[in-house]
Amino acid sequence: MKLYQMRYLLLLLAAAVLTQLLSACERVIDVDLNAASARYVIEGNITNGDNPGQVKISRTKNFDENNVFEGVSNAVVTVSDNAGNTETLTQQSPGVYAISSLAGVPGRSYHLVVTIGDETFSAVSTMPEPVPFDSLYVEELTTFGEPMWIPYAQYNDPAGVPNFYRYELYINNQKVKSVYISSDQYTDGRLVRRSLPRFGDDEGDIKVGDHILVEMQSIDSAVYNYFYSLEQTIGQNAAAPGNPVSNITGGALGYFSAHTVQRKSTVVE
Amino acid sequence: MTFTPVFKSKIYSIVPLLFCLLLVFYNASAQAPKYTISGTIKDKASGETLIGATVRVAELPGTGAATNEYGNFSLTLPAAAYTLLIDYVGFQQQQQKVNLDKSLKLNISLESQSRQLNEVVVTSSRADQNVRSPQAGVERLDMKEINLLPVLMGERDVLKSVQLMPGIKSVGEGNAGFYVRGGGADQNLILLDDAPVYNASHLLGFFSTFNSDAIKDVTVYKGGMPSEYGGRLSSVLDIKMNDGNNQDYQVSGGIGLIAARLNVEGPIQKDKSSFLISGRRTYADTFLKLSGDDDFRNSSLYFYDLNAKLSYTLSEKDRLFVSGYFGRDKLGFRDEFGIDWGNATGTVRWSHLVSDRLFSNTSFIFSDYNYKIGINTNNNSFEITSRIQDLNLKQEFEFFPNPQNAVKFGANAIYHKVVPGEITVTGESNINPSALQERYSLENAAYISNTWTANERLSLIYGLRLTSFSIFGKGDFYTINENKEVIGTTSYGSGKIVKTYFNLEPRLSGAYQLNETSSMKASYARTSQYLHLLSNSTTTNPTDKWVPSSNNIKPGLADQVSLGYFRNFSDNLYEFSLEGYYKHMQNQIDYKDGANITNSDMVETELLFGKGRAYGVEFFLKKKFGRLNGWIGYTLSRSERLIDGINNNNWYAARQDRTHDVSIVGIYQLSEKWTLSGNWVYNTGNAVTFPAGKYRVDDQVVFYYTERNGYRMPDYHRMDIGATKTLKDTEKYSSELVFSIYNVYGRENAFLINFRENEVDPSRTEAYQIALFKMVPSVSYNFKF
Repeated sequence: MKLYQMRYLLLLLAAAVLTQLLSACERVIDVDLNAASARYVIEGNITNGDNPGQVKISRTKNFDENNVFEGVSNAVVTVSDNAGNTETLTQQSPGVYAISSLAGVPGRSYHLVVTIGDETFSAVSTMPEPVPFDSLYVEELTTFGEPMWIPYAQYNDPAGVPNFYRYELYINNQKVKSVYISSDQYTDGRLVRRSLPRFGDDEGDIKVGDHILVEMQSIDSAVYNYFYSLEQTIGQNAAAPGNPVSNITGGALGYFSAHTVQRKSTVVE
Repeated sequence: MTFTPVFKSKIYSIVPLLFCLLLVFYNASAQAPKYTISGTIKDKASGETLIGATVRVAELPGTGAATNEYGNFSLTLPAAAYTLLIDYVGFQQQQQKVNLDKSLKLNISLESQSRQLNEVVVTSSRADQNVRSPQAGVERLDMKEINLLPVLMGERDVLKSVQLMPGIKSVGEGNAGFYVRGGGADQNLILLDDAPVYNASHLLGFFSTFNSDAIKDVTVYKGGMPSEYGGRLSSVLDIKMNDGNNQDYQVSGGIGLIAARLNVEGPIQKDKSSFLISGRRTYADTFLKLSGDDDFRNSSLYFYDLNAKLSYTLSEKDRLFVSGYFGRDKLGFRDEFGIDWGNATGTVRWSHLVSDRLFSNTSFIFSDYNYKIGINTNNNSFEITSRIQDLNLKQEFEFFPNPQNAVKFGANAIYHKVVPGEITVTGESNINPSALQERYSLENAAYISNTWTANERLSLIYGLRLTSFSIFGKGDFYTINENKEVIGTTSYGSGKIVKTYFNLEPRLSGAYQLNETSSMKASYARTSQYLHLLSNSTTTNPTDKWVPSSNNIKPGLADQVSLGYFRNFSDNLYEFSLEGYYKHMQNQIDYKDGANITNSDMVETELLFGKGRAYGVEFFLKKKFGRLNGWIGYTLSRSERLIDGINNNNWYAARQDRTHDVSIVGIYQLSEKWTLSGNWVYNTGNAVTFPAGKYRVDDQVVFYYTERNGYRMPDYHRMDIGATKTLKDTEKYSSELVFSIYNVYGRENAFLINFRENEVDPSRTEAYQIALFKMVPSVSYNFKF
């Protein structure tokens, strides 16, 4: 578990106790937010898995509009690697450009170029060597009288090299909306048991019988920084709320990640 | 201590300048022989020395002296017979006839008048001190006054009372943190008996670390800072602890909604020495122990403060003080998670009267702030510790050549050690022990100032402060390019200097009497700051991080000018002032988007630098005596930053920019038994960053930001009321009940505003606010015997 998360957890705990004591009140309010001119959002992934990846392109919307984000269909998207291969992606559905022939190979660098009208965006990401995902297990932890099931991803971090990881957690094939990342800053060369707790409303809590699937990814440091700052943006508690640190140049939001994938699943019993 | 040649040459170039300053008051006159009256002024009942008591000469209007922070004064006059008028507000005036044909020692004890006069006295200094004193931009609080104001959860708090003065603003709801004249919360130097307190708040900022039982005097300098103070840009909050009663044993205490207090003081040897010990602890956690739930029972949530002081009169000329403060917060969940944090400070001071005109104070000061996080889960046991520690040696002289001049000069050297974060493994763990690099630095200062009463109308305090700051090894230091990337690392050996900064800080403050009841005051001060507080959050956190100036982080500099009009009405019953200021700040710090300052040796790569400006007008009207007294304060101000890399390098509002800020305070003596009080505050909301739009990434809706601090929190306003009932009030025993209601009309002030997907209709997004403290009643009981 990342250390700063612990800190915030504690502070949240304290704040929660205090707020309970003091009967804080929450209410929905009207805030008049200015409209902003739309920006492109690019979410690109290339993997060494069965699904080699895709590039999704959409736009920002104003706050008071609905949450349907239409894809951008008039883009030209190419991905090339440093082994001399290039693929121009075909559009699968509006705004979704799929990789079909280009292979994701650990150790190779990938170069994404997106051209929309007269604007060009590009990014580079290197696929790290995979770290074996040894096991997935689920353990019960009781906090404030409430038992909670927590999945753990277990692996041996390779010593002497910086490693960055990202995890996706699926409960009954439903992806959990949380950012799970870790780096080996404090765990270099150690056996790591990364907890992947699910926070949020009670209905979605993990129960006996649930199918748990975890995808573990080895990511590069720029992608780690993107998700680290994305988590802060989502948390809305940073000293200076801002957009995540993107590895895409040219002024688009989002990220481009070349990463390895390994999946494990289990049933809670 | 290591001085570079540069430093030496700077020192030498300063020396002649200092002598020039000194010459001003050596325009020696070879007239009638002169003699010196010196001594100490005390409270007769407790033996406690009085700070700022005045000694005036009836025969020579405009001539006089005031006691210093240790209660000493010195007044040199031509030989003659005089009548001295000794005053301290709240005390009966004493008149003393002297025949000055040789130097005299006078030890004066004043008697309190509070038992004779059935009214609440709100001032603490000479009735027209506000008009006459050459010090601009200063507020002095009286503990008697603070004790009558309504409070949150029954806890009296000097830091919150200070926030009711114009130009001083609260960081947020119920918070002990404050902003002064547009400066950041880390730009205030908070001193407790000369020791800096690095984190002056408990429980996420809702309470300050100062237990008002142990406090004697609170002075805030908002501008025109005297030259003996330095190290922060915006203000100095100088808090002095009581010395302890050297006449009688005295026990006082109280119990409130969340905490209990006890204060014991008394003579060790009557008239000569005294002790004081004062403690406070919250007791809400004892209810956790009663809980049937194991998790609650084994959790902790409390804080405590302990103040102690010993005062010895070693001889006619020597006094020794030893004072200390220890405070800690502890939060823990079973033995799985825990965080505790706190300050420890210590001061040893030797006060020596070299002659009847030259006083010396030598202090050794220690300060430590640290936090510790303990984690103990089934497969991970480790601790994270972080601290900042100061060792400080200070020597100060005060010299009183004649009634027109009072000189202060001195030097101090502070050694700072910063331990940003260290991980130790305490059991089975898959975490490697590690540590962020420790940083060592030395902050030196030499200063001189003179308070010069030129004539009946003009008085000035002028001074100069020279500071130096060196950061040294052992450690790795980074070279950073303009894209904030590390392009080189240099390792420095132990004690090897990495970077030294010097600053010369002129200080000037003066008053010109327009007539008997009004004056104009002006001031200028340059201040520097070598330690910076980085905070990753919008709320006060114990894990906020102090970082020293380095090769990449330049010291902050501020220049402030102020101009004010001061006037008293109706024989000093009303006090009025109007003061305007302009402050220019250099090397101000803000954060990059997505900054990670928590666990990195290279925090510099996450910071952006620029400048700031703050200006405003403060209006203040106070009624000082009578059954009804109180004040109205209003500030109209602006505080802006221009930071390279934020908002396309345009000026933007600092978080603490608040256009309007109003405080109204009233205290009413209803009867012998009842005193009522109330206050109302209003301010424009803080500048905040809100999203301009939204997008989808990683299968969730994420908000899109275009502008830093482009929005405002809603206006804040709140009214508190209080009532104090004196149950018993005799010489031997007194007790009272204090009732307060915080936020009496239940205004839901936004503590934070966040954005989310609508829970019912996830295709929409909405804004929501969280408000704390909607009407909090409290009662506390205080006693003294």
